[in-house]
Amino acid sequence: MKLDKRLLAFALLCFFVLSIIWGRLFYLQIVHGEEFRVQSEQNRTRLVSTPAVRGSIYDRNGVCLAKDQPTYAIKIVPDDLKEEAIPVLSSILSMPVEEIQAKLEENDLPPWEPFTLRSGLGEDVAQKIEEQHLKLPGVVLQIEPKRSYPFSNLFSHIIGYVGEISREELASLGEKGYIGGDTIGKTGLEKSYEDYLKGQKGKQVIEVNALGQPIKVLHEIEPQPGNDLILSLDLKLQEKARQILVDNKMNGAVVCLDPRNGEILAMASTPDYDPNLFVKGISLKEYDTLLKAQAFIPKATQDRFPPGSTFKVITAISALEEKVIDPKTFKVVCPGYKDIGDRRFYCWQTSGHGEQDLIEAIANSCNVFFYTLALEVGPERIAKWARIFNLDGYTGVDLPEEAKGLIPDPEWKEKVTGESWYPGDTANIGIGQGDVLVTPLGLANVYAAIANGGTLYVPHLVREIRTYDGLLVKTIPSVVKAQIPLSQETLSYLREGMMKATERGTTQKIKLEGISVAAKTGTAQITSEKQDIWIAAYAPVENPQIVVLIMDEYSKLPYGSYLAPFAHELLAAFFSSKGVTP
Amino acid sequence: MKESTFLKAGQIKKIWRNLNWALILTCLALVLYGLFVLYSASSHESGRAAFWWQLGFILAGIILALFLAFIDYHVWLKLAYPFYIIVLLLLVVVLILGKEVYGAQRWLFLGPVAIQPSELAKAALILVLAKEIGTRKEGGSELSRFLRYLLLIILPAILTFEQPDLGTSIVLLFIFFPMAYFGEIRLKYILGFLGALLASFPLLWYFLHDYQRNRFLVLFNPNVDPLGIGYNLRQSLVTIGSGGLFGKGYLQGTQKQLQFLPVRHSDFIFAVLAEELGFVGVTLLLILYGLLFYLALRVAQEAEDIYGRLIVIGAVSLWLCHILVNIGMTVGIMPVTGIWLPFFSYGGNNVLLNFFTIGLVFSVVLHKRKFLFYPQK
Repeated sequence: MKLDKRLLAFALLCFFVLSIIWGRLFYLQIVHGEEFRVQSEQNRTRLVSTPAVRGSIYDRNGVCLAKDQPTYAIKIVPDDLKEEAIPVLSSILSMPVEEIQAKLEENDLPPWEPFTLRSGLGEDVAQKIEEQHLKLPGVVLQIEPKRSYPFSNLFSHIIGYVGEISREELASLGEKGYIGGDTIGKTGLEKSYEDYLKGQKGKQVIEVNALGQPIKVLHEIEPQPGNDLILSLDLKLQEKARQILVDNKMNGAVVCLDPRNGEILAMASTPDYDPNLFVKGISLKEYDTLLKAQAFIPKATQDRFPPGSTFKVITAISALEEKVIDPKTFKVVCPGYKDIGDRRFYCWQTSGHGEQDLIEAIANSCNVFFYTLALEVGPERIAKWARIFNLDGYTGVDLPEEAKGLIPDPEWKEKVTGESWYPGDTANIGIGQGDVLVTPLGLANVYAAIANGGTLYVPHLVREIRTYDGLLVKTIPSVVKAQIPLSQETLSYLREGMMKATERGTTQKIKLEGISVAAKTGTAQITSEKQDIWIAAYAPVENPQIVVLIMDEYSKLPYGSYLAPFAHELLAAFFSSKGVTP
Repeated sequence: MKESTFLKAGQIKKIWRNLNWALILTCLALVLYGLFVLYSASSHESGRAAFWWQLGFILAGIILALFLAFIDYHVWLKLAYPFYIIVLLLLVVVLILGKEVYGAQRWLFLGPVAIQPSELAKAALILVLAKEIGTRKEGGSELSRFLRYLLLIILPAILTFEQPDLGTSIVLLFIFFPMAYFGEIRLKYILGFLGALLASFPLLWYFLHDYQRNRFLVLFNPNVDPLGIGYNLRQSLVTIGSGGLFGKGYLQGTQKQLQFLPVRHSDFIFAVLAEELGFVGVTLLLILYGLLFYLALRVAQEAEDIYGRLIVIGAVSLWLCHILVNIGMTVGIMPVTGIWLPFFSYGGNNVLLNFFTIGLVFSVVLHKRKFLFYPQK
């Protein structure tokens, strides 16, 4: 059958196209086939990615807290590996032959792709490999930056650590250009500032010899080092903070804030861990021990505790701001207990405080006064003011994870337990017990807002981001979360009460010479012998520059006031380093 | 026409006898050849997942093709305009909401299903052009008809160009020209437009992204973008060339030279074939393609009417253009674009589109008066 004119023309076009392709293939495969075959077998080129140096992390005075150090990695290209190379490798690395073979079998990358056998190796091993490279076909040495944390445990929860990217992370972040084997921030600032720290990988086209080892770099795009972080933390203060916790075997938290801008000056939680463990590869046993000790949950930000009497400032503020009482005339006589319904609620001082006004009650932390006050104000308004201070929300600190507090009210109780609210519940929240829970950072932030007259900042750890050669990328501004309308009167009552507190009993030990301090302690009974104890303080009272908060969980010490000497140490360290006479 | 869309028992014998067996066998041979090569190309995927998925896509494609084939193509032509309009909307949506893969917005995700509207555009264009050109409205001059046809393709071509998916824009144009030619548009108009298009290339150049420009430049200068497209092209040539006359043997391709490719089993699958089965293997493929074209053009010759003929011409143009652009890219005579190789490349969207066109061609085969149950008036 004959095709008609147009079909014939179209058939010719098809034939023409196929012929061109066929001709080109003839040219490539037959005319130049031999050349290409030789090229494919001998002068192989490889496209490899070169790792970028991760940004460093510095404290506010420029002390380096985390940086990348050059180490060597031994990579194997299974396609090029010869059996004879394994024993040689085994002796250099002092790694059993079976272990190397097991690693080879585990590897699920394609056989032409180099996979890491060992990393983090020093100059000495690298040199031995270099010397024996003729006996090691398929073994490639690569310089690899490795993370190091010179202060080990000191910043574990803040800086966090890096590790190899996981399958799950790869699935969710693959679009950002990560590939298997990449290093990624796992927790802490390493995670929250990953995009700034990581830098940009480079690429190289390299020519390799018959042993699969690189001979020369043909083309290169240089890697871009990541940006550096400059923190608001002060190394000296941080050391002091951790030392207090560790030396006194406390499982607790210390937070130091600058109330003028929300910068975190020190923040430590115990137990902690050494992030270097993760870089060199943590053993399952070590990991388990740390996990059981809850070393990975920083108490300062990711755990919550009953605040005890440190919460009384909220009760006082709600009473004053809602104008429930006239502070000039409102007085309560404390006989050491108060009967509410058919239950008797005790003051911590069972002998009683006698007649108390607001200032005295804050200074003495009189429970009976605050039971009475709470009942006057009512649970809804106390909860309202706790929420204004964001005690039930996230502070927004620049860390990847954070817990938030719990502020109970009748509605909450009904929903969660199905029970109705009793006056006893009101009395309990009035002194920061019952179901009230706060994070140490969240509570420190409340005291910062009281210290500065009502500005609630978003606490933050990073002040500046700079390029590796020091150019400013970004200044992290102070963010105001809320401007809380507190009257001058309210502020002055709190100030008076908390200053007077430093004149009473053990709390006196917080005092600094020449600098006025305001403080509030707290003791939340957990069992008859164990209690969560607190102290929150700021100084100088007229012009607050620092807020200090210490919390000790299940403390062996009986009262929050026993933390006063430690708070004193922190304040003294802060003011001495600033050149102000303590 | 309604009764014609359903089969009666007595007609089955007739269909069986008159089926275009040569064409069926050619398609089957191409499908099996494609799977054979994909099996090798996916050998480094975990568990050859791509191979098994492809098998599933092909089975779905065969069902789609059967469905299309047994219903009169005039029915499909009636749906051409609604289909075309839906596809245009999807092209707009993908520009706004599309997911970026390898730097272009081409995918729409409907739950777990990823749709490439640009593939749908090719299918819609074949149908809508067959409908419009076949109807040949009276009263217009040849030029006005040509411009009207052109109007249909301009919009999808621009929308795909914007994604940016230069390859699909080119394919849409190359479906258009042969179909217009068979719609009694004289060659001088078609060549004139083609000439104008080439002449405006410098202007078009201005609208291209840097990486797209590199894809053209690298054809003339292998040192362009040596870490990117230049490297890819160089390695592709080495891979294909090193296959020689008989190839390195099935499953024996080192594929080392292809390690840079994220799309080894889809866009660059031809390189795997050329490396492992050599010049003999690629010649066999080109012969099969030639046979496919010849048999399809015979279907066009014997088609019941101009509509049927145009549909077949559209299908052949689609295949031809894809073969030229895809193989041309791997052998360094066409710029690198994400255009798949018919019957070979991995992927759900392309396999389904391929079987869509096969289904349409067989609808033309089956719905002929002298063969089948075409309405006797």
